[in-house]
Amino acid sequence: MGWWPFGGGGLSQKQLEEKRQIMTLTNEVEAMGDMFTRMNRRCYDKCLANAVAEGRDYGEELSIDEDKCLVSCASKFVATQQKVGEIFMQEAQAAGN
Amino acid sequence: MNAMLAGVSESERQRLMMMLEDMQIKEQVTMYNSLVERCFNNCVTSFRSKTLDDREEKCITRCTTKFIKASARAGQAFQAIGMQPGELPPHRRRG
Repeated sequence: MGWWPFGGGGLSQKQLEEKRQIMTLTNEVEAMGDMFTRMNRRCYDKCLANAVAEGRDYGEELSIDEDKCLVSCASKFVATQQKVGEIFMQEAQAAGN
Repeated sequence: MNAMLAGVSESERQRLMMMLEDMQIKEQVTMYNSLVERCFNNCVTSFRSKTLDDREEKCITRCTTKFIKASARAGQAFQAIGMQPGELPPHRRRG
């Protein structure tokens, strides 16, 4: 029994490396997708949800205010992501000392 | 773990190690993404500009730092559950 499609026995170093590369790439893509989904949900909640639920919005097109809110929300979400990443690195370095 | 794997073939061990590595990466990604979402939700309340203001930045910094320290401490306590009382390292406060 072995790893399809590599057959029986253990994998060579090169095959292991390849498998790891694919795994890393797949995880990265999934991570980005997940982050995007979260951002979408939060920005809808923050900018649109209340008005839409109460019928206070302007129909099917986005109003100027809704548009501005969404642009601001997305920018701030990405900025938050960068800030959190920064702090993680700082803490990791501090913990290593 | 090596004791549990006695007699398991090399290819199966490799497959297991890869799976564990993958699980660990996925778990860290989920933790990171959840943290970003949570700190964003708690700290960012106005949407007039495209950049974080000073208050929001400080809030996010606190949110993240607290989470990292809390996570480490909870992890320590979790690992200490199997130990004798008194083995959990004491809480260290700064001021």
